[in-house]
Amino acid sequence: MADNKTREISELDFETIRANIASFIANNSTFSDYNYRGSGLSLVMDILAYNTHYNAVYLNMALNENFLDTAQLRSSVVSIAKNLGYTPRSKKSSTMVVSFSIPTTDAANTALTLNKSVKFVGERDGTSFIFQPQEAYTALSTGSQYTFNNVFLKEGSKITIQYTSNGSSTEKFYINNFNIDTESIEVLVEENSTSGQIDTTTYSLISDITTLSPEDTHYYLFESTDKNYVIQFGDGILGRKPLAGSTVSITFQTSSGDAANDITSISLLSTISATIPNSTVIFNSIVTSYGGDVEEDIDSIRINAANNFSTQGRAVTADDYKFFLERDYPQADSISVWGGQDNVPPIYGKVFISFKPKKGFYITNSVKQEILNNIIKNKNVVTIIPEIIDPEYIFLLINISAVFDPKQTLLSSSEVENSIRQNITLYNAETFSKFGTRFNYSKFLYMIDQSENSIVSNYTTIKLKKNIPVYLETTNTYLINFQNAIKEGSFKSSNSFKAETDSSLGLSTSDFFIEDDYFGKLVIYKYSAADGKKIIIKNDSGEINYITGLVRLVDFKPSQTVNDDQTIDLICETKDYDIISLRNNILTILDSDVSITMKVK
Amino acid sequence: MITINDKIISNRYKDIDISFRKNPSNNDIYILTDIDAVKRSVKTLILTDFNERLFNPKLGSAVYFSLFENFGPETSILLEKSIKDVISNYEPRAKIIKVDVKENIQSHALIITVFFYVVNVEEIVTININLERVR
Repeated sequence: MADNKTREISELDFETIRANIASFIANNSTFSDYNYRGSGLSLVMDILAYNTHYNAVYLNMALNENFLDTAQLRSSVVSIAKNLGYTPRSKKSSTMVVSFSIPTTDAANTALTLNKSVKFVGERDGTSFIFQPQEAYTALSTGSQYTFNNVFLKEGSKITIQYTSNGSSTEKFYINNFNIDTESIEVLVEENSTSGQIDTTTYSLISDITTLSPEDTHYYLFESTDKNYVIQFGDGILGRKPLAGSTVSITFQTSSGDAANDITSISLLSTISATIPNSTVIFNSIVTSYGGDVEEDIDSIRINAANNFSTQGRAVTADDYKFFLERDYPQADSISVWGGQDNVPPIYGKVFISFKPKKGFYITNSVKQEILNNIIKNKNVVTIIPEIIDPEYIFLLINISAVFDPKQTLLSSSEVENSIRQNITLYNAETFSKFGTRFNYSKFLYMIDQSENSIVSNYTTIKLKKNIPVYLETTNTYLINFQNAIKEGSFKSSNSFKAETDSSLGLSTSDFFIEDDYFGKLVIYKYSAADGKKIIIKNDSGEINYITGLVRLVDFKPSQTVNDDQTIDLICETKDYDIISLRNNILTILDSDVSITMKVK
Repeated sequence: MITINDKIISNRYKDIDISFRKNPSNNDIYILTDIDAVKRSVKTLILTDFNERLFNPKLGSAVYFSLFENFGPETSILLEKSIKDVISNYEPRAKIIKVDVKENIQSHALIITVFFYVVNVEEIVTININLERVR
């Protein structure tokens, strides 16, 4: 008769499986010694349980590896990503832009070529890195010197591997180098033509399969299961198939990833020309190396593969832009993208992009142009103009008055203060310095209280500071957006400026300051030399919207600023305790902006 | 009245013969019963090395382990304790009376004799295990 008892069949754990087998034997077998570990029956149960456990784990893993969300092996994640049309990012070589001149006695207009094989060397932390030109550059002699301007150098050495094609459409060409920068790949195919000549054709990376013809010379690039890359050509229908016997040359640059970033000086390793000694080369400008990065990790592939599929290779929404930029410009620590309709003021037909680099505050103009040309240009909608704008930093000025109980600690007052400072630095690194962050006042106070056991309480005030670059001797209107409701009467410039050529300020050599008048107007004032009293010189220098936090400084014509970098610091207090940041604004705390007063309980 | 020995005769313990010999009378696997079953169990436990059983690394005795150690006065004590431990921990049906470990230096062998009785059975059971190098 059929046994109607419930059987547990979904367990994975060895002991549970074994217990289930024991339970089964107890009910169905003539054997009785299943409970004794030394018995033969126990041995058989061990083997059965192990086999079941083994199969269960194997099946579980095999199933997990079939899905992008659960796969653990890189090869599985890469394989699934391949089905979504995504190729993981390889290492990226650092870029360095240099300009240099070489004294010469060659006649004017004599050409000198800087070949791609010329090697430069830079050093960081005791390790040398080779840099090579991305392309060949030519300079003409002025009669006294050759000048090479804006030479783009890429870190790494060039390597060429050659294969002979067997003419099969399924043939794969493996690039067995873990340090490859796939952006540097150049593929040349040499074929014997019918006239007996050798035809050399350059193949480029496929970008859109829908436009392929049988004669298009493109190659496909995949990551193989062993973390190397594979090149495959078309099958004669979707792209050209090289002839049997043709020579396939694959040249690529190796990369040391981000280890070669931040190199500030460089020298020539090989000679540009036999007649030019390296010592005569004078470097006029060197842009610190940037842009090197490690290969994409599994978690990143997981996210990017799905996003890549959803964007379908086109940048339409703000999220599409963000995805492409995060994928192709990994040096960005944080990226903010917003449509022109969301801008203040709205500018239709534009998309705005702002980067916070991993190092430093801003990215250079050459990098901006590189991003627009190489990453965005071929993906965005024609009618939308992308514009990269610098991030604006909202600095938090923090004034803390902390009360501590010296009986509760062995630390001195300054050591407790240091604990608070360290915590604030950590808090800043973990919470801020990215787009779209929020300052939560209560959490900040709690964090200060938790900095040291002896801290009893703290009273903390927060002000916002913006560092505004100004054009000297030029009348301009400046929009400063604090993005938070501003307390009336709290807006002011924290340092003075001179306006010797501004007739509206009396062409005076005095030091001027700006503040708001509690009613939404900006005024410019100075202090009387006689009695030190405040004298308002101009009472309509702009407006301030206390609700939106937008400040408009009109007809402003400074001639000199206290800050060496031609900037003016503007500060204000917010109405709300919590502070937000939108669009290209980044909240951040500088150590020098934190003032702490320690009081004994 | 049923005596203890009657119970034994009624096959209280029934185990598979792990050698998987065929019983010619019924063409089925041999079944070990009662004292034979316990005896085989004790022998299996003694000859099991640590880490041999899956997911149960502590089950076993130091018999095989000792074969590769220098033989000294402490070896007998170690083996005796190890055998007693494994049986008391994993074979509640057997109560050890004595474990006798003798060395035969000339033939590089160990002779282990275990005296025990099966719970509720008066008969003393003896297991002899000779361990010697095979080459």
